[in-house]
Amino acid sequence: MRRVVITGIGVVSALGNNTDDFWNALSHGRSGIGPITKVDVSALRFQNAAEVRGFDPEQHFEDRLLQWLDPFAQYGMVAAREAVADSGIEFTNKLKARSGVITGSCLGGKVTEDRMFYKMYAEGHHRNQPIAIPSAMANAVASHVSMEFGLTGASFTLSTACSSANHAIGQAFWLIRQGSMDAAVTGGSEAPFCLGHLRAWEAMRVVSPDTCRPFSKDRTGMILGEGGAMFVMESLDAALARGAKIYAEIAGFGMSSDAHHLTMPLAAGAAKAMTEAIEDGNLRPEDVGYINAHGTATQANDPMESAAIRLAFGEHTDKIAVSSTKSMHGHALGAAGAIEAAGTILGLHHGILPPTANFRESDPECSIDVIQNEARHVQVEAAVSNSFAFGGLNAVLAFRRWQG
Amino acid sequence: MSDETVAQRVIRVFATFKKVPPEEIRMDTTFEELGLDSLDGLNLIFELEEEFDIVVPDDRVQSMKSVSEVVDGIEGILANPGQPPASPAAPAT
Repeated sequence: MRRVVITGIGVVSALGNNTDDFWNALSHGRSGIGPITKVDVSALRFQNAAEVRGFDPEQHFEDRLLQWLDPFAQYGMVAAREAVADSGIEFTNKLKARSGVITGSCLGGKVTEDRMFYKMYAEGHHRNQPIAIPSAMANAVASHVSMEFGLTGASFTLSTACSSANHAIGQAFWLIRQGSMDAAVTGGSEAPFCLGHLRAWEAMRVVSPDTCRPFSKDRTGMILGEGGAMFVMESLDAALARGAKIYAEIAGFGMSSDAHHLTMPLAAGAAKAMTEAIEDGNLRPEDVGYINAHGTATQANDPMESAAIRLAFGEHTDKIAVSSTKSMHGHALGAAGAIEAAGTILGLHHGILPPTANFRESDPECSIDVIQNEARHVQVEAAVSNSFAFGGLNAVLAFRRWQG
Repeated sequence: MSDETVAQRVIRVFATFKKVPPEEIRMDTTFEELGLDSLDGLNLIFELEEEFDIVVPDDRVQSMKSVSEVVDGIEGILANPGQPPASPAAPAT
């Protein structure tokens, strides 16, 4: 089977609207969490989130296109453009036919829908704009990116709540590895900031009134984030042939279902996905030096994930550095896996493991080596990035350092 | 307004939620005895918020694991109706 590598990265996030700004903040442990400004949340029980800031859609899109783009599509497209430009890939007619766009999104165009429903139910409007359906469809990013670059290979969107992006990236990887495609633009994006959706999160009672402190004993819940991250992925041979810059090899992908409970995660299910990702990548557990954890900072996730890591890695667990970068870019739901894959890949590339920000106190129920508040300058050979979804659907990516 | 006590209203909400006669719900009945897991519990608290038109703060939910604890919690909230939800702390960066 073919080997597959990452040759382009694009990021829009609370840590910056391009890959350099994102990595600069992430590697310095700077959190992008602050008061929510896009929605009046004065009546909500939480007020903080990791919002994309300083993003002017009109700088990126002409009016004619912009009217069809929900914020989640704007983030995905801007990230995809950056990834394609960064990769230097030339989509020839032959390559276009062998390239696709595979994206993840939990919510699709929720902001567009919220606005539409408000106009109907609260303001008494009887008609909707024709933009609503194509703007709100979850596959909008896959479709727009496919059209923009003329990519006519397999293109689709996966929606598995907080695992969406990892499931999407994993599918792109496997399709290239098995020879069904030669290149892909893949990742995820999300824009959850509208009142109707925030009210729904409030009812789940898992959002922190303060900030996100993954694995810290005094953690108080998750912090919502938004944005997108996209990658250009291609076969190793194609990347070498064109002299591309290679960030990392995507080595393995593992999936599992807890088959257990809608919201209470199961360590055995999470561990199974990690083990499958390692085995899929022909890695040994001891090759893995870093895990970018799902690390939501909820009471339920963090002890479960710590136990799952120990189940999957056994005695080697104590030699693995773990961080949750959600402490900085928030939990971007269907985009989380993509943003975290960007952090993981750049960590392997630069030999810097990003930290868990806002960490204050070790929790005996989370007995793993948490990278606390400051990055570690360590070159590891392989890294794993976890995503676990409500509904018990798990997706784990494994990356290998590329020594060019 | 009804003449029901807070306890009677809570028991009515529990009984409706579990689709059982109110007589089967006692003050010392626990969520666990009713077979309610954490997600069911959240849903039940939501029904109680609707019934009493109150906001149950997240930290109070943790101490509501039986009918009597729910009644105590709701009576406490109803006794301080003007009290706004605690303002969230500014995030540490």
